[in-house]
Amino acid sequence: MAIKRPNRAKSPPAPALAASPPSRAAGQKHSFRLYVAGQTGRSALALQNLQAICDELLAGRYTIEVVDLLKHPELASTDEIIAIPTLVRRHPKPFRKILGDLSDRSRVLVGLDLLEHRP
Amino acid sequence: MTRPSGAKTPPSAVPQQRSLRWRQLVEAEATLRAIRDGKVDHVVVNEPGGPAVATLQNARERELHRDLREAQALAKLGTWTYRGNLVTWSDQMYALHQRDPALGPPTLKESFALFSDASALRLEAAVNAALQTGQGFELDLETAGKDSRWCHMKAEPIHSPTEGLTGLRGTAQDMTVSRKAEAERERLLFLDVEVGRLKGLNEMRSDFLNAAAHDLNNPLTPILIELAVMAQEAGADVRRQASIKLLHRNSKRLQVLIQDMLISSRLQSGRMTLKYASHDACALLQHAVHSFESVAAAGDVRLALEAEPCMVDMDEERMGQVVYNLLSNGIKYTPPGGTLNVHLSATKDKLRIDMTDSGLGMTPPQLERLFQPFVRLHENVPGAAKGTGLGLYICKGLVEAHGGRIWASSPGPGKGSTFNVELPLRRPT
Repeated sequence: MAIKRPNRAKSPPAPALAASPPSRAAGQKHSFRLYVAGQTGRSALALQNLQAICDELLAGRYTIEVVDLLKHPELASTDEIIAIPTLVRRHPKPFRKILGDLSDRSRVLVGLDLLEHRP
Repeated sequence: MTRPSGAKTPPSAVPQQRSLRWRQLVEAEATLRAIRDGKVDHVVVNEPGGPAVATLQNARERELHRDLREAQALAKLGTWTYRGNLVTWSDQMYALHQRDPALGPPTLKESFALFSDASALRLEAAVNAALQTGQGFELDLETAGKDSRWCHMKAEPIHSPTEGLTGLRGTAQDMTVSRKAEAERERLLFLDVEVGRLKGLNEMRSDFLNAAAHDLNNPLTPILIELAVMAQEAGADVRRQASIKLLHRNSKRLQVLIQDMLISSRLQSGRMTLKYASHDACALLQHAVHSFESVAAAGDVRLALEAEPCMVDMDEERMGQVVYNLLSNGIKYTPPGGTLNVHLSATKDKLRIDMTDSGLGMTPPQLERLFQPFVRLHENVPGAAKGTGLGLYICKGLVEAHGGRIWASSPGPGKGSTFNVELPLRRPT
């Protein structure tokens, strides 16, 4: 946690440096972990939305690990998951958490630093 | 206020703790907001046995779910799915099958066993066919158990865009009430038809008996007349007179039997017509007793009558037949040295005849069968085999046609018996 905090504190200036598309984060290899409960409802929707976004912006440079907490509830403690579905970006650092079914595309892009930043 | 300053100071234990708490607070707030806004549909809760996933339902969903459950209960319509080897049931399915919801839904195999053998076979075949062909089905099924119910089951395949046919979903409509009503209606209809058929048969039988008795009776009259002529012509020829007497006696007996048949068939079909007139019952009894005196004397039976004049509305011929029958029986079944007392009494609206003999008597079961047709209680008594077994049956029918009643009592076998007849003095309206 002590490491993450400086990262977070630094990140606000970053968009100003990387002013041109694609965004700084978009160029890196991404790894996601999606916490779901079964394969219905918002969990299924979240996976579909995540895949669509990744295919579009991170084609070939991402991995998605799906954790079904209905089957393995004990894994919830790994990333301190409280609500489901939750997307955790494990790489690049810092960790990011996005709650919900990821259907609000622009919010997801902001949350994952994938937005093309305008000056 | 503390955060900016914390960010500027070099890392130390206190700000680290603060920032951790801060981050946790922010995260908790975001989580709460997500839950409030319905962005998530499950939460992880800490159960004593470890973390577990709980389903969240917002108020609208809960309301819809409740409405659906109530509508299903009202319509007695259950819904089910079968997917990935798992069966799911709506609450109404548990009600239909009277299964404890705590047990959860059955497996597919178990769910077949919830129906009667024939229904289970049909359902299993239909489910297998549906899973192979992807076609739905509709069946009327009976549940197993003694309190069985009927349901109309509809099913359709579940198709997923990626995997194709993944299972079945369907409804089960409880049809027990309408099915029972229909069965009851059919039963009543059948009974109605059956009653009509039996009535028709009974009428046909009565008509036949009536016609047969008539036709049998007709030739007897000329035979009897001719016999009377022959008896005159025979004169003193003892051998011929003897054979004519035999013919006459048997023809007369035949006539009596036919008359019995005729009357009982009329009584059965309710076509007995009585010729009512006012008569003295005392005179009728005196006449009857008088004509039996010689028979009684021959059997060494003491015959006594105690009566006073009593006018009554009746068909004299038919009531005479009743009295003759009872007297004949009484004498027949009283051993030599016995007595037969006839007593007539009257109240202001009723007449009563009691005939008490010191004869064979009867057991209670015999008394019960006494007035049924073709019943002869004392087969081994000489002369008993002469009758048709219709005598007392006809008596009962004639007395009841007059609006009266007849019954018998006996202290037991060998202790004699009493026959009682009660008649209204006035013709019943």
